[in-house]
Amino acid sequence: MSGQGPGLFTIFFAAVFTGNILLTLYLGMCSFLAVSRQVRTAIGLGAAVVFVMTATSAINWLVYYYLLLPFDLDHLKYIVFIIVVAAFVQLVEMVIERVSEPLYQALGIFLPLITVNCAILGAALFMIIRHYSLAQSVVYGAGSGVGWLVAIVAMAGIRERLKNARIPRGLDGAGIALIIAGIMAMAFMGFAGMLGLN
Amino acid sequence: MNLKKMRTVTIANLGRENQVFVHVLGICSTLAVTNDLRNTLVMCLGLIFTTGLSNLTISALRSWIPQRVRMMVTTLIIAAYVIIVDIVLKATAPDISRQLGPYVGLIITNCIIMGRAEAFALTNRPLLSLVDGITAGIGYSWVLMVIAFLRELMGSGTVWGIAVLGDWWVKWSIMVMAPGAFFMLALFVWVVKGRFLRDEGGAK
Amino acid sequence: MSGRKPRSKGRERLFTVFFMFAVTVVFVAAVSAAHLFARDAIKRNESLFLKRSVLAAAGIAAPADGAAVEKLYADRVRAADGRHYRVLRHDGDAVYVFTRRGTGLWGPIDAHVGLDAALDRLTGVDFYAHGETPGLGARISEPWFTAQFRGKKGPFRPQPEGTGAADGRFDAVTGATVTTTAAGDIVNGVIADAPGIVGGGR
Repeated sequence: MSGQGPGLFTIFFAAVFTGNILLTLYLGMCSFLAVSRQVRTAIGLGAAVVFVMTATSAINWLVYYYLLLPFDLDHLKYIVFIIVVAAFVQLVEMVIERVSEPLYQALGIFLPLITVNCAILGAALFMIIRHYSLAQSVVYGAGSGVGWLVAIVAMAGIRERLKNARIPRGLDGAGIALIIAGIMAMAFMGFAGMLGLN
Repeated sequence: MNLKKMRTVTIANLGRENQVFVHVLGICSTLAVTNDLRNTLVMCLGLIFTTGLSNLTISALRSWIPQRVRMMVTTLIIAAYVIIVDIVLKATAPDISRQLGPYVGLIITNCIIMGRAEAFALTNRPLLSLVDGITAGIGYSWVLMVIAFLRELMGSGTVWGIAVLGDWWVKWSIMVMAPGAFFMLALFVWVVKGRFLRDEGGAK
Repeated sequence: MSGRKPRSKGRERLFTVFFMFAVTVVFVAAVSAAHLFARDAIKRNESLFLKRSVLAAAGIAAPADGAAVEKLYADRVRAADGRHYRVLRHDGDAVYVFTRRGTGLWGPIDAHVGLDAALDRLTGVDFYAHGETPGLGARISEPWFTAQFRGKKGPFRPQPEGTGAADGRFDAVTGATVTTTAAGDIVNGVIADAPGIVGGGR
């Protein structure tokens, strides 16, 4: 067990629930608050995040361990990671545009938003700090993406219902969204008991 | 130069146009460290440095940057400044750098920096952009410092690591944990919007 | 400053590539220069951090001044092999500090664990590198957590926070079960393996 790090299932479960990248680390907040008014769009953006996060975790892992470390370029990792993410997003956008018109219509507008989604860079940095293997990194990336998707869809569902509720002045919009996020964060911490995780 | 414009920009960034409580931007990377006042201050200084200089650089280059790669260039410039912040921190304040860990790097994706670059630096002169970047950073920082102060005080009974509340104070663990930051920021937005910005927004 | 207006599409593309290339070169050069300039200071800071950690695990209070730490370390610490150090205390006793890696919730936890000359009681513990959740698991590197092991006899079992004062017990971090267990396992693992490691090194 020692030296190998945590198991894949543990990483996935912790990334989706107890260590949700959005609700415990606040990464990806900007698009979370801006694009969580409707469930449909939330699902679209969330799906795009899952895809990009899983893929860039793998690419960044390979780049880091086969390019940056051997050449002692560790200090450039921030630039390289963010460029990889930006380039990948651009590539996906081009491919989707060529291959499937409906998919492009559905996801296209979200893709540029993803480059500046902190969660994706965050996942890349955390996998390096935690010394994950390639498999662990991919699972962590996928788990974090799914966690983000779950959080934003749940949030959008709640906000759709709040549309006609009377909210104290000053609290409507961002204020109430933050309070919901806080309550959700508490609820997600409750999942810890399920597997005895922290 | 046009000092008047600079003053207008400054006042807007600190108050009515504040990036945090009006636009709710840029809380991604820093909110996580607001359970400790000192870490928050260091993060905010890094952010002010990066916003200011990236705004200056992008504004200076604005007529040459090709439209097609605009985002890439902006990201690259921001990332370079953040790496410099990271290196300086590692060399001069290793303990704080270790505590902040990846969060320094995550300044890159702080929406305020990209937001100011896109919304201001691309259409304004370099010097004015520098002022805008720095004041946007300061406007952001003071809000987060208030939140960090309250979270540290209530969550750990300390300010700047020094115990100010005695043993009688029951520490609110929730404040140091994730939900505390959400509630604190929501309260802040509520108070500021409800009290000071009430004349805005027209009818309701 | 009216900007450049490329005439043809081909030229525009060429300019874009050139521009991207130039910006990349300039900024990577600037960053690399900063890196080279600060590299020695960063390396020194890192080694100083590890030395402080070893001293802390041996139960020696490290001075705040960096040079003083270096001197103290050079005077008192002898690296026996890759896995443990022999440290002379002020009272003349030799204690042992062991390096050990365990598995936390998110990833590896690296620790220095100190045992007295008889390999019986702990002289100190320091969890110096880990990626645990800030505010929860990360609290294992706070002084209140590490200090509670000092002077106690293992093996250890975690207890609810505030009730682990006796030998063989320690206060868990509330809400961080996996990390607490990992911390306990690291300490217990060192206690179990220490006689073999020290015996082999002699």
